Amino acid sequence: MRTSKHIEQLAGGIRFRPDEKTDERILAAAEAALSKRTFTDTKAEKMRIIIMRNPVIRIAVAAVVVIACLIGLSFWRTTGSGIALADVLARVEKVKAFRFQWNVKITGEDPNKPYSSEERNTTLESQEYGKKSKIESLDPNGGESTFSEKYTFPDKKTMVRITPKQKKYWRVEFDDVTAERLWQMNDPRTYLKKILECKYESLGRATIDGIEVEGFQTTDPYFFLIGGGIQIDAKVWVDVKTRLPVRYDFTWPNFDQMGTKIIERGHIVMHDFQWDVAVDAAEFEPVIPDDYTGTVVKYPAHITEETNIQGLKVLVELLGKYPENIIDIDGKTVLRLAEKSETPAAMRLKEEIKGLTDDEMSNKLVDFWMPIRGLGRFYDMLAQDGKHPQYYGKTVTPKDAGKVLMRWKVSDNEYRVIFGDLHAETVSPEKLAELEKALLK
Amino acid sequence: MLEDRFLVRQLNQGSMRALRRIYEKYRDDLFTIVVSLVGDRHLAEDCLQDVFVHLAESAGRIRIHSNLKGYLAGAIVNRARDRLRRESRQVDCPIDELQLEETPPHPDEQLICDEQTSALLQAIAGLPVEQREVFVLYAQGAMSFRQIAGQQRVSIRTAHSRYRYAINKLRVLLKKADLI
Repeated sequence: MRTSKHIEQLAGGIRFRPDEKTDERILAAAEAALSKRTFTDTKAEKMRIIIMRNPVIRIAVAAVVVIACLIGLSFWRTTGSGIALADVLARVEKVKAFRFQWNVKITGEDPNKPYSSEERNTTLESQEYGKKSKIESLDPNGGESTFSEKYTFPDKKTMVRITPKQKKYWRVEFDDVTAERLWQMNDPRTYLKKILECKYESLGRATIDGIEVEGFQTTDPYFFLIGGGIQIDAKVWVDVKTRLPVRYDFTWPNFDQMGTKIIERGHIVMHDFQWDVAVDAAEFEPVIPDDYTGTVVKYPAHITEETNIQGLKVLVELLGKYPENIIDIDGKTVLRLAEKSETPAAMRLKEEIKGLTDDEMSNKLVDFWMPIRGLGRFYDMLAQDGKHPQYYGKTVTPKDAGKVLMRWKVSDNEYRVIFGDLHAETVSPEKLAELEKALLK
Repeated sequence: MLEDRFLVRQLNQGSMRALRRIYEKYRDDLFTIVVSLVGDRHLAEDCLQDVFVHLAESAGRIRIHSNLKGYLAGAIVNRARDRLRRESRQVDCPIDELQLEETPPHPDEQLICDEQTSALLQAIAGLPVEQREVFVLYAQGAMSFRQIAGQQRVSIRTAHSRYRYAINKLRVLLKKADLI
């Protein structure tokens, strides 16, 4: 037996790795194959991708992702007790302002790697002024909690998030569709509408915090937007006197890749509702201290040829040359490359970030990273739209005004080309072939 | 696992970045498996390329029922089998005649070429194909017998038996070489 283990260990210790040239060859072949594919995402899916790429929105979306796509109610069912959920919704929709708390907890299932993350929110929502949430994120390792505030203004289509620990705030501006979706997220009304759309049943009477309530439950897999087929268990408990919700409970499992093993469980509780509270407009005005740094973000992000050129310009000023690939370029890679660079921009950057902690550095460089981060996304967007992008940063320098640095297809008769000196032109396929042939020389 | 699921979803939407991350994440594991299976560095590189080109060509319709690593390991084993068949190579040719020994060590290759390793590689190359696959996937690919059985379309018991036969043969061969 010992010999078997020894052989296994010996074999397990053998490692081979392709050399860099092979890596490049294989990746180039695979990327070429991928760029020939045409992808037809739905608008909704593209929107979801954009939302999930936003670190700010992602937090909210990851916590509870619910769609509010509810036009018309097909049910006006009553239960044995006489409570109709549609009546509950009608009452809730008449409420001008309300306050509630909601907690989200995700717990890992592996006893050998226990973990849990938890977020506690107190939300004040007004039909007139918007939504304000105070969020406490608990440290899974038992350390200090972090606090933030979030304000959502549907009429202005904006969201403001303030993180006091980082002395930072974000102002995110949305288009109509995204703003509408965000307003409906984590909203008790949305959940009621969604339950009404699903198959649900009465749980009968119970008492919560001394209040007599009636419960309703759905396990319809389409309750959640993402992860259709998820084993959701959603319950709402309604005060039998006021006919207004008292508590919501949602639990669901997350499965591994094979879909056979549960790896974590999520639990959301919405509770402590105070319906029809008096509110003051001043409560919905974000208070941002003068020493906080702010970032304005537009979503869906405006990523264009211009922002792409801007990103390339920032990089070339920093590194003195174009990066070999822009698909994977991120903050860490640029910092690593800039460390070795002697350009004036790199020297300035190194001076600015000297002695800063990671958090401080990330705050300071937020604006700086924006156009650089857009590079990979621009390339991805072109590839996803079947526009066959190609980038030649490995061989083209800023002095090569006549050489193709990047190109993509506009139509069957036109290609857009960004040249080495960062000017852009539209050329015919024949001209592009000529230009790319020159690159080989 | 979650990252893999995310990467596959991204790849299905045409993300070059997801393709690169998948390559970087599993390249070494897959290359180790395929070198041990085919015993030829260049042939192994071709197999690796085939797998990733096929993965890219399938983007948009990839449905992985096992885990991503298992899926790719299965793909590389199939590719190795096809390539060996196509090249009509003698799988039991001595390892020291193959490219592994002839290729000068590259600093990045992390090629361990001590006497014991060379002897083991040579012994692995001498195993029948099915036994070699089970041994390599289990010992070098860190796959479970359940996954290997699924990949080879045999029962778990058969996969176990093949592994036992492989270990016994390797023990004999390495003992003969006075290495264990």
